[in-house]
Amino acid sequence: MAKKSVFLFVTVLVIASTLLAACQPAATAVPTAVPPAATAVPSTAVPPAATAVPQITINYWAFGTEGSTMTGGGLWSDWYANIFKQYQLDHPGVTIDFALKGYDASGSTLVVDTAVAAGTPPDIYFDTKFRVKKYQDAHLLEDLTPALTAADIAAYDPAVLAGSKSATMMWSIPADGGYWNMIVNTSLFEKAGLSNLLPQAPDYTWTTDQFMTACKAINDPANNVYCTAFFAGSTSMDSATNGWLAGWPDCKFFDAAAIHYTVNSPACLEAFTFLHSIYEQGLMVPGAAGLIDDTTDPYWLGQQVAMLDQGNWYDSITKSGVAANTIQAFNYIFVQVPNKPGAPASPVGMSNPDVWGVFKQTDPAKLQAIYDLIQYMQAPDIATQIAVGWGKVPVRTDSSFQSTDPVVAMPLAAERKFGSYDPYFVNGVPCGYTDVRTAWADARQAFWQDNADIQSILDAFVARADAIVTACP
Amino acid sequence: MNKFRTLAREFRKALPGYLFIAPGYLAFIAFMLVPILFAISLSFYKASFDISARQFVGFAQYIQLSKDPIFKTALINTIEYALVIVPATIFISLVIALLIEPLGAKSQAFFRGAFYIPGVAGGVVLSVVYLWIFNPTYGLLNYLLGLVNIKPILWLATPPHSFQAVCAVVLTFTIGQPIILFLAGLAGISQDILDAATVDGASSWQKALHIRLPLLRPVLLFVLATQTIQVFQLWEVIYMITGGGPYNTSTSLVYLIFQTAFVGSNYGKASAIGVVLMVIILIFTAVQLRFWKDTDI
Repeated sequence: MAKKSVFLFVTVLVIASTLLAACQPAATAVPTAVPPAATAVPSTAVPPAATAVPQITINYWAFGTEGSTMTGGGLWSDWYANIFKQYQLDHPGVTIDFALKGYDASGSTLVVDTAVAAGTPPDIYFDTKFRVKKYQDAHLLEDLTPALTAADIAAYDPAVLAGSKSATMMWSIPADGGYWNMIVNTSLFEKAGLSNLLPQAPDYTWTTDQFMTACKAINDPANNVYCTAFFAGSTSMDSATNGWLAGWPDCKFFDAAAIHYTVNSPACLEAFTFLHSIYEQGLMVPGAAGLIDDTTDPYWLGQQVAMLDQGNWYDSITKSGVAANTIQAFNYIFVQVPNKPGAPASPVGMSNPDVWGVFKQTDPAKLQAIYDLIQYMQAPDIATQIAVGWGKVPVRTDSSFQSTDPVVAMPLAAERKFGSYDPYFVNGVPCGYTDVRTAWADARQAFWQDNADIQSILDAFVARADAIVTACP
Repeated sequence: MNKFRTLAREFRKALPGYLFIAPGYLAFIAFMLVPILFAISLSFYKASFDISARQFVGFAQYIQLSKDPIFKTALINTIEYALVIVPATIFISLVIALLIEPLGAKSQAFFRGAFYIPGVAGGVVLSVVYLWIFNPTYGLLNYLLGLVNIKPILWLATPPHSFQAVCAVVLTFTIGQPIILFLAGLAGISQDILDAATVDGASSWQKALHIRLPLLRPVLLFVLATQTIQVFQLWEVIYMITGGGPYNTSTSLVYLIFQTAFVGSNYGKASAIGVVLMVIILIFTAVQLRFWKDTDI
């Protein structure tokens, strides 16, 4: 009996210890506390030096998943492995621990959030600006100004770089920008004998009236072909709605000077009334409020929708689908967002940049190594490869980027001719934007309903968004 | 002193028993009690990613919640989900159980398995299936409606259909377990009582209403309690098929907790919502226990 009791007692102790060990708090509760790295650099990579080389390991996470492919083929993981292999050879003592970390359809970054909450964030995180911004709102990021030279700063598109700055620091550095032109499936128009209704080269501009004529002509719900689609199920790709505001230059989403959301202005009301008329006339895939971007994709890839905003995304997935032989190839072009009759051609939206953010560091030597790595990555040649890989364009004006791909060259040419704009923010992004995006998704879901009271919806959003920004520390 | 010795002796005697139940209790303490206490504590703080840098705000978050229209919507929705899903689950599963009960053993086993399978598959798998069923343009449901000339319905995109859609998905996997429980309860009713009723001239309907149903009361109350708690914790179906939308008309308290904590990174406020939910469930459970006192459970 005594032996049995001892055995049981020891068993319980083992189980209890295991449980308690699993529950113990992280060694560092504060995410800023990253101890100096002690990991040794593989001896094969660096020959032993006469003087001791400081060993630094940089944890670098980039948005994506294990099998994420680059536009035009190739795995992101392979691309990063090659880049970092060379970098490590050139920088003895530096080891880059790289990982692609995914996100879920709601647009959140649970993996990173969990790591941050556990006190083990990566050193460098590369993702879309809005997803990195929330860590800046929590005061978790380093100032990256020292990572750039004066020549670098001068080379950036000022409108894009402005979105990476706060009043006191540069919390991120952009690598690329997404162009928000519309993408049009020309194969569908050719098949219907309606090609003459599309915007023509070289500018590919059209008015709202011309757009509506083409939209009504191509729309054929009986045969499962819709003019366009919108989605509002999540915060993801809300820019595909905001991109339309290019045709209403007086409509400003946010007034940076007054720190006040202004998307309920008369100009914005006019813009959203026009958009709602697309819904009212049955010219879009039904169920916008229930759709998220990932559920809109099959409509585009299956050629059931003729044109969409934020064309760079659809260009990217079409190329991937054709390369993987999962879809039938079809032709498409990029065109400008329609402008009001008599108004100048709409500028090209340039936003949703992918940016580098750096979580706070305690070791100055390591911080300097991180600055060096970012300086290396943001140089025009490498940043351009990243931009092209994401189906986006470089945001450094000194980039020698020249695309032979017409669907990339066209928006670039249009941007150079008609200018760029950011329908969200002109001078930086205010804090609380994650919550604002949620509020904006709610507003858009209310918007895509029968008999929507557009003014009330926009007013309610502005009140909610202003309350969020007012509550910021 | 004698009392102490007796107690020690009793404890030594019962030690193997305590050791056997210890893992369960330790797990309960580590994974339930400690997190609950921590969440209650956190609800009084404004806390984001860096929990150690949290700021004490007292009841501010609870006051904020009382004024938050989205919280109110989520709370009302959660109660409405319970009011719709729980009675529907009980009614449907009871009717099915009453229909299955007279069948032979093999047939009963088949139907028990058939109705239980969706529960095993789980909400996430069923949600994916239902996403196709509810698709506005090529979904099965709108196709069937089209056969009888009914216009397509945006099941997930318009209120109140999104709410109804969530209820339909949840009902698919909640009825399995109650059917099993009701069948077990029905099997426990003495045949003598039913025979006596037959001799007295009771019809099948009268026997079901006046004999079977009252004798199933303990099972009914158990199902009522467990189903209500389950529905109060509903979130995965909402996450999968509506995202709480359109404009929060199908959201629930647990989904709001997820959004607040893991999208908005506001762990303090999420904890406060969690505490409110816990209190609601506690009140409900207390009411249940009050009823259970009069039963033989």
